[in-house]
Amino acid sequence: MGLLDRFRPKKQEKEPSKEEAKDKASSSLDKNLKYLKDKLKDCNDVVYREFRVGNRQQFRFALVYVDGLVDRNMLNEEVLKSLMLQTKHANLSPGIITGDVFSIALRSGLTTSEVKEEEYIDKSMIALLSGDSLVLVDGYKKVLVIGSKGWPSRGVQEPQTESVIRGPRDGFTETMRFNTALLRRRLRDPNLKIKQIKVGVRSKTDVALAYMENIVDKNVLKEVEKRLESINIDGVLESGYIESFIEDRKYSIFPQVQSTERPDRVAASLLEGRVAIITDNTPFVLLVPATLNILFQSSEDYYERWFIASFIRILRYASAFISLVLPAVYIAITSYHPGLIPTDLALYIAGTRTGVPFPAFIEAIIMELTLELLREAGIRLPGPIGQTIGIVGGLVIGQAAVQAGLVSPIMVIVVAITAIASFAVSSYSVGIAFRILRFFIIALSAVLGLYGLVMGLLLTLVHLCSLKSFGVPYLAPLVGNTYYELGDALVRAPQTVMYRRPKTLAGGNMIRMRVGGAKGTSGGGSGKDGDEGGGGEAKAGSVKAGDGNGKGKAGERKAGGGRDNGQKSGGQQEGGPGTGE
Amino acid sequence: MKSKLKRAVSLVLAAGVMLSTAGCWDRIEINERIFVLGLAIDKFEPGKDVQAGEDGAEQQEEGSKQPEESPRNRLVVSIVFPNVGLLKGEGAIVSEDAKFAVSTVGPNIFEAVRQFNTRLNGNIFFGHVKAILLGEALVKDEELLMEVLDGLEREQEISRNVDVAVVKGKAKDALFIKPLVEPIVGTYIEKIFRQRKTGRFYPKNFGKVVTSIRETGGAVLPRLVVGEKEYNIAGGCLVKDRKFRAWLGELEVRAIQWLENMAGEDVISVNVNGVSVPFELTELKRRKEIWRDDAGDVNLHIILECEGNIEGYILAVDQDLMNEAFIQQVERAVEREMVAQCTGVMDKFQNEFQLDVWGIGNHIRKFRPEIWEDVKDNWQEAFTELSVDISACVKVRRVGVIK
Repeated sequence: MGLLDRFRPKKQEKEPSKEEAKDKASSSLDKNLKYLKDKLKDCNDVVYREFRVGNRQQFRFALVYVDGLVDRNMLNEEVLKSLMLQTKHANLSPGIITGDVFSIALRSGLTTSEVKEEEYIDKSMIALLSGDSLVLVDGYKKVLVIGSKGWPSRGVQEPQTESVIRGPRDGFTETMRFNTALLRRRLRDPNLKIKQIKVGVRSKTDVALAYMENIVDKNVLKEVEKRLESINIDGVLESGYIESFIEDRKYSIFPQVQSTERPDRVAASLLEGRVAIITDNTPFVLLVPATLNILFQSSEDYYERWFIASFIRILRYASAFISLVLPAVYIAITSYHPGLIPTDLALYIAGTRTGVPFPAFIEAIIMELTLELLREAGIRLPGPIGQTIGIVGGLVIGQAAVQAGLVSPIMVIVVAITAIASFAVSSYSVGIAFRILRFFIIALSAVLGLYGLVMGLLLTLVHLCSLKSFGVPYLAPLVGNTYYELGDALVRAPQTVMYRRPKTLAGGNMIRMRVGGAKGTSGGGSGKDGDEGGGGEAKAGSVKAGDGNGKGKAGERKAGGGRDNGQKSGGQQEGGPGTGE
Repeated sequence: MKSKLKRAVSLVLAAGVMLSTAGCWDRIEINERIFVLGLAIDKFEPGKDVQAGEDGAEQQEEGSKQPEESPRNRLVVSIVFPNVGLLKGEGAIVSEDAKFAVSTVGPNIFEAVRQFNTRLNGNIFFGHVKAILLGEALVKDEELLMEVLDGLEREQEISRNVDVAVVKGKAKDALFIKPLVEPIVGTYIEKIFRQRKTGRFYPKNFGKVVTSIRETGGAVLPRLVVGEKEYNIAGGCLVKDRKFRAWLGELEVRAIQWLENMAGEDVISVNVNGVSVPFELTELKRRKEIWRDDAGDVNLHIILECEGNIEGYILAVDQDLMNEAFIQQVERAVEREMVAQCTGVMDKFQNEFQLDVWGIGNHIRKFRPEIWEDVKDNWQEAFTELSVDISACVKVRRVGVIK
């Protein structure tokens, strides 16, 4: 893709954390423990448990884990019990005893599913801090890293910011492993790759890159990897940190990366050839490249029938336009061009404005600011109080201000319509961008009338045309020559019409369905999803149950046969971050 | 880096200069404007121009109560504007103060408007003028009429779509009365013009009037008569050769419109079997045929194709209106009536006024250029010699509801 030529050169610095990995584990248990205790001084959440193994108690072992990050039940049952009790009672033949205790423990002592050897003690320490447990054996230069992640976590819940009438109700959570699982449940394709890296010198946050190997545009993927690697920051606490590092234009008001809480949306995007960036500790997954068109879409558009979806999409674009220009149009017309509106309306507006002490511009600014204040106050306050704010604010603005003669009733209507329209934009970040732009356009139209308004819109358009997200024009497919993609722009064409993947996003495998055929790859997948919904639920439930320490037992019993499966896979997946490279 | 900074600075400067130097003086809040809805222009006639009421405020420039005769005082300009405060919420209410009308004297419209500026607290805005009324005396004054029309045409705020009427008597009076139904005079007049339920006046907007005067040398303007609490717009005023030529009757104006392919839904009463049968004209289509006969004379054949309804006859057992022969009888009677009226008007314009008010010459120029070549030099004369044949074809579509 020639479009990628214009990428800016990025800083090529290596993470400075790599030098730690020089320290190899010693063969002395005491030395290793001392090393860990030195490094983790005053870390009272780290638990050290020394114990002896063997029928004559001749081997010294130590278990180290971070309390709260691990599944303690699992450690008790599968590590301590197995090593301490079962090896004690085992009738060990001399051959075994004289053998390599380390490998015996590895191969037949530990009954956990995920165990790894680690040569470097520093690396194992990072695994320890990520929720894995370490088993140290006296006399051996390696450390056993046991995947034992299990911390208190929020379960899968309905996404707060992107609710739909029709569509799946599950949303991403703060635990990355659940999130990748939600994706994998939707796309059972070996081509779904989930590549993991760590970002943040201090936070060492797990960040996963998800993409469909044979669909993704390799150039985009490479660019995403490059930009992710170039991030050099102490901590990544939310995907917003990453977004600010990988976006193309920092000084643009428009978001160039999409963030979503919905797994179905991510799955659909992966099928379009986009790349998802899943960050640990946040339910918001980033999707790149993002275009304005994509940001105006809602996942529900594809679940409703296409007539409805098209209507709603047009409505959404119209509402964005209204939220951008309505107050500005009002100001321009009332202050500069009263000849443009019907006489009766002009007289009525003039009538309602008699006695209003401010010019329309000041009036609009006052009302818009009040609205923004209300909105912000409503978000920050807890639910019930937030409603109170709404009522009080609505009364204050709507009734009192008009009755006091401070603002004209028409202005209240204008501001109200603007507010409603701006909330109808599906993406919050785009809505905010339009909201800020609105002030800019209001100012222009207050100075230059409709002429200023048009200039403001032109400036915005020029800026939008110049934007690119990972080499994809921000206004695609409204610009460019891939006309067939217009079927998924202002309107949403029937699925059979959209049988090709968007050329601006996908890198290969362009036909996504055989029109008229019984089996399409994506169609089949989603159908299966629905069929196995019940089974999946049970699985997710047992994963959750396994995480809670105390409640684990009850949850497991209840889940019955499915429990083992769920528990195992959950454990295995959770171990991933520590033990994978 | 440096060029970037430079670019940013120049951008900020450009934006700053643009915002601080442009526009803004043009900004007038909508409630600070005075929305003139009606504009009346009269010729200043010293002595006759004594009026009560607000006229006391007239003539502040001269400092005397009575406008005196001076070369400066040529026109009386009156405007009417609504009391917008009263419109708030309840819509239009009939009230003492629903509208304000003021009047002043000046050498031309523009100076008169400036005089309003010394008396009124708002910015006078002509963008919503609904009606322009010209006084009889003004229309009869050759010099002043053309001056006023030209000034109005050049004024950018006034729409070309404004209705124009000639007031019998003083145009100013029309603005000062308090009409029964709609207090605001301008919109009241506009609404009468827009209803199109009658052909008894010829609604002509300002743009059409000016074009007609330019192209044909004359125009038919509607005539407005001011009553105590209402208006009557009917008939017409013929302007020819830069000034008033004649008043036209209501039926004449209607016939003029038929010949111009325009018709309101009007009722034509014809006498059939001694009973006056009202025929409602709903549709009219005019066709023109122009040819040169063997003698070389230009012939014009105008065919009116009409449709309409019979509104009523006589309540009787034997339904005459279901009888096709009777209906045809009515159709023929209507045809005769229409042709008679049209022929009369055509005759009048050909011989008495010698004015091609329909733009027939224009039509010939466009569609029969070979004929136009011969007549273009003295079209006025050729028009009078045109042999015109008018015929009508009427179809009755409905006879009303029975049973």
